[in-house]
Amino acid sequence: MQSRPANTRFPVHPWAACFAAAAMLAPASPAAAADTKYKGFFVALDYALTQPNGLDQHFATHVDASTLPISDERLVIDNGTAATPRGSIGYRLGRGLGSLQVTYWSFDNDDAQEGVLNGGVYPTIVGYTYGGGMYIYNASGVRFQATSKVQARPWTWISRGRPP
Amino acid sequence: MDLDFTRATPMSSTFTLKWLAGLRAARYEETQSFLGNDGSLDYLQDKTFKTDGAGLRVGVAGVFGLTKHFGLEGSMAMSFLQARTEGLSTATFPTGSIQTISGKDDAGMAIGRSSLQELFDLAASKDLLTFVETLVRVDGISYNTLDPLIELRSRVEMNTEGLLPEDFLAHYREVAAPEDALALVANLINCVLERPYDVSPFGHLRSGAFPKIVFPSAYQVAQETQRMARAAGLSSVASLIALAFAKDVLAASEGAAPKPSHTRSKAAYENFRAFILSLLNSYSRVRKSFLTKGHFYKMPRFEVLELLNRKPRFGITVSYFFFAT
Repeated sequence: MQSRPANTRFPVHPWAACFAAAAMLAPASPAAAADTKYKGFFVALDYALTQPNGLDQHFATHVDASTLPISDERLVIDNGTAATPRGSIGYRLGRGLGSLQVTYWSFDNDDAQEGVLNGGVYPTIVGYTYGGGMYIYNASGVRFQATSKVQARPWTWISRGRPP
Repeated sequence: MDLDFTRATPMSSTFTLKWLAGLRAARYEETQSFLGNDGSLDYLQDKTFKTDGAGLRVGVAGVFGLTKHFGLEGSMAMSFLQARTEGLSTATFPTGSIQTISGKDDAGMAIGRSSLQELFDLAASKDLLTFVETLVRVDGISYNTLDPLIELRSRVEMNTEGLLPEDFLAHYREVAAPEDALALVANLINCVLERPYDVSPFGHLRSGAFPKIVFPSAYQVAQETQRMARAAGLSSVASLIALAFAKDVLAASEGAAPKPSHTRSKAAYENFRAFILSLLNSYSRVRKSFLTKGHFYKMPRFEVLELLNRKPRFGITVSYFFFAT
């Protein structure tokens, strides 16, 4: 979860306000009537900030037995936002028949957390193996570093081989 | 790559509905890693999922034309992908031991199931009556006694961080000594081998006559269970037991071998702890699965035995066997 922007004096980004004003003052564009009148190719580009949600990347459990009651907390990766570009090329059929388009997009998000915690830090990324679980304990501090990478992109014939 | 067909349908002079139907083929990857250091040793874990999916995509958008040149658009799209997922996780211990778990699935996200859960599933696929006897752990009459497996769980979950090496070794020996956990495993293996339920699966390891009966050691019981597991073709279960009931550490605690280092004792105990908790978690999950529905057992001469469960009261579930007529 990301904290809200601190700028509460002017909640709308100045660039967004300028864009809205420009859009309203611009000469009439064919966008509204495009579906019925315009026929031909078109290109669309998108660039947005995207945040992975609901992944719950629990990487360790921290137990500090030096306090009463014993504190026990889940350490979860804080997934931030990352840019998502998207490009489309399509053909509008005209006469209200709709349009066909092909879109390529990609998402690549890296997150990292590190710190030092007193007591036990028990990593949960793997869980239990034949060798058991991992129990990392140091009353004066366990140093840890956790990373996460989330990627998504369309499958393409050239780079990926056959689809499932 | 997304291939979409979109079409707009005017709903009023200011509102247009757009709908979308398309195809999506995409790859998703999720990678996590962890590095921990307790001041002297490094602990590493990492996990990767890779999913290739393809399927249908549908969506809808509403366009509100506020003025001739300015409007608002809200949209949502959803993909229904048939996916093939592969996952691999790796744990690197300070001892240099590298453990991996891999899994794959061709329908959606999935992870590898534990060997013990597979043992339960395999046992359940054989004779139902023997499996139920194994789950109930049919035994003689006992009074005012806590279930040994509940007691075992509480002792295994005990914090052992502050124990001295000698006390730690004694604790490992004490919690490993009762046969109950391995008796459960042994009877699950009996199910797999289609043998009848055995009230005392390690009775043949005892020697001497009453009152001077010599009971087998924890390690002997573990060895016997490993032998049974291998006979049933369950080599992964046998490996788990071998790791959990470490010969060098348990023999030392019985005075039959040199004393191991504290690091070795801790590693062996963690294996034991992981094995017991995994076993008890699977056991609890399978028992609870019986609460939701009735079961029918085909008897000779076209008779049917029916297992019914009464709704739990005060944490106790009563099960009945009926001969259906």
